[in-house]
Amino acid sequence: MKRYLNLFAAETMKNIAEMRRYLFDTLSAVVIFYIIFLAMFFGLKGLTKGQVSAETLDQMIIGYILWTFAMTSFQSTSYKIYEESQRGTLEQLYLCSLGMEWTLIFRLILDFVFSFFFSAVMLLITMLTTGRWLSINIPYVFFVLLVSLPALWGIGLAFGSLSMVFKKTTAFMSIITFGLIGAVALNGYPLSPLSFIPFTAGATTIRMSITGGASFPVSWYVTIALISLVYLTAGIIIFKIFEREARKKNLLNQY
Amino acid sequence: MKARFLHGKNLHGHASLGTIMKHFIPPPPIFVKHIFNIFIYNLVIFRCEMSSGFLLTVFFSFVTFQRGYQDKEASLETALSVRNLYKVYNPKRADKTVAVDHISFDSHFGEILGILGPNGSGKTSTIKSIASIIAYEEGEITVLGMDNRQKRKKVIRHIGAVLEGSRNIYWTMSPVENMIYFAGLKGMSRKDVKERMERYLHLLDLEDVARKQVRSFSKGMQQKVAIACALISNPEIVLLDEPTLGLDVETSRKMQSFIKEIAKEQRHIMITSHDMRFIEKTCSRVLIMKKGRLIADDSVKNLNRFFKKQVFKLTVKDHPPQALLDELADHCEFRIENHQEGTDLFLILNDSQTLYTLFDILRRFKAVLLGVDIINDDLEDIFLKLVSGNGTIPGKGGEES
Repeated sequence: MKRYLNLFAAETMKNIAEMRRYLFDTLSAVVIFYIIFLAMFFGLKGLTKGQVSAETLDQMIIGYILWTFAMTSFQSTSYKIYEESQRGTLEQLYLCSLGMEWTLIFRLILDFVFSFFFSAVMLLITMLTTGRWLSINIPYVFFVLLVSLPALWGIGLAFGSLSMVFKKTTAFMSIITFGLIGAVALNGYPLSPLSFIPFTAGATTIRMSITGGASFPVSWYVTIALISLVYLTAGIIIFKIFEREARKKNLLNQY
Repeated sequence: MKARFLHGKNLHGHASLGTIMKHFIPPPPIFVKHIFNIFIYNLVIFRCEMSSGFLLTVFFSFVTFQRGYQDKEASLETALSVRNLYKVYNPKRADKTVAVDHISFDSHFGEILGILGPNGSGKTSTIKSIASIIAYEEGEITVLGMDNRQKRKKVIRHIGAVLEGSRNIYWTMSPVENMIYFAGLKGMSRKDVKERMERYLHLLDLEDVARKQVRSFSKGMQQKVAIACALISNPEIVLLDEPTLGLDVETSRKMQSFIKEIAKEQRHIMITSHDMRFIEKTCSRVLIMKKGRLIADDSVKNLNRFFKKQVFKLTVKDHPPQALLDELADHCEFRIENHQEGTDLFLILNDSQTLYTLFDILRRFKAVLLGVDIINDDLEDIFLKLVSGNGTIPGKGGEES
C-alpha cells in the first residue's frame, strides 16, 4: 500500500511542478475558456435580441462547464500518453514497478480533482458574468461524474494507445474533442440509443437535476455505471492490444 | 590461455561469502525486530506459553532465515541469465529483421558487462528485452532468478535503465524533482532516497544545478541526471544503453569513474556503447555482437591478450625494392606508408622473434633503418577484427560462430 501512496505522491509532485512551470499555459487555458464562453453568451444574446430565457441560460452554463469537464477527462488519458510518447519518456514509465497502468490511474485521479477545481472556478466566473446563480448539489454532481466519466477515460485510453503505434493522432483526437459537444448536448434520458454515447447519460442527468431539479431512480445510476464500465473495459482492452503491438515493434521510444 | 565463448559458463564476478552476508542479512535492529515479531505472533496466534513460544520462535526464525538466505543465495551467483533469446521485427513480412538471433549468456553481481557491436547488431534489442520494454519471440530471460515475462513487475523493481533514443527524464523538472519522481515510480518516497539523492548529486557534480530545470542543461549533464534517476531506487541491475553518446571526453571519463564506483555496491551493470575506450576502461567483461549474434564473450583482459598480435612500425630510408617487400610478405602481414623521409612499414607479427628474421632481410637488401616503434593493439582493433569477419574465435576452430 505504501508503495502505491509513494507513487501517488510522486505523481502529485510532478503534476504541481509541471503546472508551475507551465503557469502561463495554465492561466491562458482559463482565459481562453472564458473568452469562448463570452463569445457564446453574447452571440446567444445577439441572436435572441437580448431575450435569453433563464432556462436557456442555465442550460448553456451547465452545458459549457460539462463540455470542459468532458474534454479534460478525455485528454487526461489520451493526450498524456501521446505527450509521453512525444517526449520520449514512455519507456521509463514502463519501468514503473507497480505497472504503467497505475501511473495512468493516479494521473486520472489527479486530473479529475484538478478539473473539478478548474470547472468550479469556471462556473463561478460564468455565473458572475451572466448574473444567473445556479443552485448546485456538489456531492451529487461529483457522484454522477464519478460514475459517468470512466466512459471517457476508456475512450481516452484507446486513443492514447493508438498514438503509441501510429504516433500522429492529434487530428483524430481533436475531432473527438469537438464530438464531445454533441455528447454533452444530446438528451440521454430516458434510456435510448443516445444514452449509449459516452458521457451523454451522465451529462443529461447533471443538467436535468441542476436546471429542472429532476430526480432519478437508482436503476438509472446503475445503467450509467454499466455503460461507463463497458467503455472503460473496451478502452483497457484496446490499450493492451496496442501496447503489446508497440512493445513487439519497439515503438515506445519513437517520437 | 582458454577464452570462454558463447554457451560456456563464465565465472567472473562471484561475490565472496563475506559480501553475501553483508548484503543480505539485515542490520541488527531489524533482525531483532523480526525475531521479536515472530515471538509475539506465536504467543498470540498459537496462544502458547512463554517456553513453547520461545521454542516455536527458534524454529520459525530458523526456517524463515534459512529460506530467505537460500532464495538470496540462489539469485546471487547469476544476476541475470539470457537463454536462446530471439527477437525479430515484422516477422510476417518479407523484409523481416532478425534483431537478436538466439543468444545466450549469464552475468553476475559485481560485474560490469559491456556489449559492443556495430549499428543494428542487436545490442539495444537485447537490453530492452531484459528490461521487458520490448516483447521477444523466443527464449528466456531470468533476472535475479525470476522470469521477466512471468514476473515482469517484480523484475522491473530491480532494474534501473538509461535507454538510448529516449529522453529518459523530464526536462521541465529539476534533477531533484526527477529523482523523487523516478523513486516514486519504484514505489519509494522522497525520504527513502534522500541520502542517495544527495550522494549522487555530489558524485555527479550536480549540486549547483540541483533545483534548475533540466531543459537548460548540456547533453552531458542531462545524461548524468538520467543515470542518477536510474540508480535512485538502488536497483541491483543497471542497464545503460549508450551512456556516453554525445558526451565530451572529460564527462565521459567522469562517467566512467562514477560507474566503477557504483559497481562496488554489489550490483550488476550492463553497458552498450560504441565508445570502445570507455568499454575497455570500464567493463570487466565484454560481449561482442554482430547481426544479432554473439560472436565473443570474455573478459576485456583475455580478449586483449588473445587477439594481441604485435604491430611494429619500421621506418626505412627511401622506398624499399619490390624484392624486399616480397620477401617480407613471406614472413608476415604488413602495410606501407610512404612519406618524404622514407617509408613506414607496419608489420603485424605473431611473436617478436620474427622481428630478428625481418632485420636480417633488411640488412641483406641494405635498407637503412631510421626507427623502430611498437604499436599496441587495443579493444577497438579486436572489435574491428571480429565484426569485419577477420577475427578468429578460440575454441571454434578459427571459424566465425
